[in-house]
Amino acid sequence: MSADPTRPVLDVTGLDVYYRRRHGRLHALRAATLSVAPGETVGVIGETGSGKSTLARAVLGLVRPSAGRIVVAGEDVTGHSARRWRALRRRGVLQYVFQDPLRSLDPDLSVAESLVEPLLIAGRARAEAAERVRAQLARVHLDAALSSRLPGELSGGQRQRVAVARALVTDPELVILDEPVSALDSANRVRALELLKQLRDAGTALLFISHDLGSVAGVADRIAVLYQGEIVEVGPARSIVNKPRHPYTRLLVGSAPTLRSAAADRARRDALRELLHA
Amino acid sequence: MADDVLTLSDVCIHDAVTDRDVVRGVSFSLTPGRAVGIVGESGSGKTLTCRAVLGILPEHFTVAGGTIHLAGRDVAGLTRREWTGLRGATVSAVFQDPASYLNPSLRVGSQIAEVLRVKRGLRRREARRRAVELLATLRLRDPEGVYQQYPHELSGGMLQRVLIGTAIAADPQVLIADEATTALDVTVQAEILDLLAELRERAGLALVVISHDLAVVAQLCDEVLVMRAGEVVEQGPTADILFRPRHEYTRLLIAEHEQYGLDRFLDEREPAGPRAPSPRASGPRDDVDADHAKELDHVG
Amino acid sequence: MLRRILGLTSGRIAVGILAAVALLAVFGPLLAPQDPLAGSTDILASPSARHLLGTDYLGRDVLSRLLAGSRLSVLGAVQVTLMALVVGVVPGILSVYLGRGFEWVTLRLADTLIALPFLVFAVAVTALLGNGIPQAMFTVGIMVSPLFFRVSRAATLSVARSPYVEAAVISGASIAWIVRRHLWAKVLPPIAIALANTAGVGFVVVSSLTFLGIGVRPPAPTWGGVLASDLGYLSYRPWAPLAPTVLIMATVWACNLLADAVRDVSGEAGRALLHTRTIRGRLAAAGRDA
Repeated sequence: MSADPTRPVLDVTGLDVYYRRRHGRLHALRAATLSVAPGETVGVIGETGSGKSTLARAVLGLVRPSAGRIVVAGEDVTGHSARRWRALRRRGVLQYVFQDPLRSLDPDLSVAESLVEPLLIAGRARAEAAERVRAQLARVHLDAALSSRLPGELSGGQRQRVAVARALVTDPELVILDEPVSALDSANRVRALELLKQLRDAGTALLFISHDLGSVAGVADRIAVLYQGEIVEVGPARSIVNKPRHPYTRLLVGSAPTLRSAAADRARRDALRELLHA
Repeated sequence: MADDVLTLSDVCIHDAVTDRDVVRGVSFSLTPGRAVGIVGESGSGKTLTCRAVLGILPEHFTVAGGTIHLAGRDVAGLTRREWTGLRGATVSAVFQDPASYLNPSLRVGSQIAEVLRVKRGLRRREARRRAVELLATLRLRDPEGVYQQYPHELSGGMLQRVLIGTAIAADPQVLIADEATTALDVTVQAEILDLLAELRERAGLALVVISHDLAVVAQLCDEVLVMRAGEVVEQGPTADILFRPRHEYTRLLIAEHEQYGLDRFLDEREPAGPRAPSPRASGPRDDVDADHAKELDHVG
Repeated sequence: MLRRILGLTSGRIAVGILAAVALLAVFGPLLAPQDPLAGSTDILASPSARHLLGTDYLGRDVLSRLLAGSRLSVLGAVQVTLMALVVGVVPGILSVYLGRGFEWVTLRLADTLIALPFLVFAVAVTALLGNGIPQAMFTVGIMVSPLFFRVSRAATLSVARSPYVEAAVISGASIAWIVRRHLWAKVLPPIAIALANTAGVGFVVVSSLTFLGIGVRPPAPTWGGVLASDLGYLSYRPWAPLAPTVLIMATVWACNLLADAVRDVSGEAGRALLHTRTIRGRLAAAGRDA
């Protein structure tokens, strides 16, 4: 990675995405602006229908925006043809981790075969690729003996680590993770979050998309809050949690169930709801 | 005991297939306006316990020991007809997936009105009027509009409200919420929990809240039962469970929550200082913020 | 794949029988002890040292006719399957990837073919292209291709939208890569089942077309042809249809056994796509129409 340390790995400006619906169209993303610096971890928080997955899919070139600009690793990809997208993806600078690790791994391919795929697509030699795969398995704390297993023969936590390792084999500058811990039980969730912290500390930029403020807050440097297709607030993770400014962020923080009984917060939540609907 | 609406004493549930007791020795009692929470992972027996209270245990499960009293009545010898009379009018329930409990081809309002007509014997027009009132008390905006809609036109949170509406339409004394907010977004979950708390205060509804999430139960309940593998490992007032847990499983639940929940950050919450404008926030929201700054300050 | 199929007992039996049938197809005409077309006065004879399976109504040696006919029969079945593969499976997979225009046209074509009455179509094609086995098999292949189109398209669709295919796309995979690496193994089992059944239908259809004077011209022997002529003289030689029936049934059974073996060794995802019974049901219906 010889990236210029000041150039953002992702720079999204004024992104608009519409989906066609039976009646008219759905404005899924409204003038979204967001950037990720090299090695930075940015959390994107949003609930159902907030447009958080649309943001990820637009950045990955799976959804075509109707306005705005996307720059990935210094390359303006906004108007890219399918061929140029493929060339960019083969460089492996941008990777993606799906929510459901079981469905994002081919059930008929062994762990090793799945892991080596991005490298083979990129045209690397098989021997070199296999060597890298071994290194990545170690990096996500997976026993090399698991590499001949099929995804169905792994536990949920192991599968998610395979999915993360798969995203890392090409030494990407940016990894987008869409709800990477939502499908895991609480013990595995804690371990997966630890793994993400290690990646962050190793210098990989992460875009961590989730509905759960609690899991993002511990990993992200900055957090962007998406509400109804709009980024309503961006700021350092701690200040989003401790000093949220936008009413929606306040409601989000105030709604997360905590162990401190929160009956007294009801009136505050009500006031915020009124404000949001006004 | 006299004014208890629900009392379980030493309830055991037996599975005839495996010939084992799958729930052992559950006891608690509820007076009007009180709330009991049951926490445990799937398979801990929490759902079977609530099904026993509703008289809808799956086939080959039976209450093998202990007693359940609903509104002072032992439910052990009830006939099917007597159960039908009790459900809805005395005890009612909402579950995790609201959409599957509503008929997709009927307007949601008419499904609430149906409960009123069957359970309360109201005439058609009166039932409709009451159903709209009920939707309004559930804090649904535009209750007349919602009455006319079909289940697929409503969001998960709205559906759960409608379902709560059908559950409380016949003014039951006890409402069981079994993972009723599990599949919902955080803000919607809070709305539903707030609504349940409000119903409890306003109508004196007694609640049994069942969840895998200790925090959800803690928000709403006076007393908590922690269940694992069919057994109650710890039971007591919510504050005791949270701050003075005795059983290691309870401690584990609390520790897990502290590891990934928001709690660890909220502890360091500072008193609100002057708000620094965030340069990264997208432009258009800033003026909205300014407009609401005054209101926000007193709200926050 | 073949090695895993041979690991199964059913797979070994299927491959063994099919290999024997293939040998018959290649060398059968040479093995015929007598001229399969030469008639004699010794008509409808019972088995003897001279005619091991007896003779038919024109006094021709039945064993020789069966051996000599094996090549045409097998060739016919293979042609039908290849035709279905090329006209059905390839567009079925491509219809998912080549854009809306191609998808629309192929879907409408498939609908049209399903709606065509078989006999009218067969007669029309013969009128246009002339009479012969390739023409007849071309017709049958076209007629069964909509089934293959639908089976392969449905399998492709369900795989193409799965996250692991999207993951490959995000890694920069081309369509060719995705088909080769992810799709083929999942699409193959349902297609294999359909193919095996079609091969079976093929044997029967060759003979049923002979009735119409399409395809094989009467003196030339086929398994189905021998069966048809034997059926006409049941009262003289009630056991006679047994020989061609056993040949046809063994081959069809082996095809089905092979298809089952393919299903058993294919992965989880491929198996999930299989609706063996529906595929078989639709083929049976197609066979009845034929």
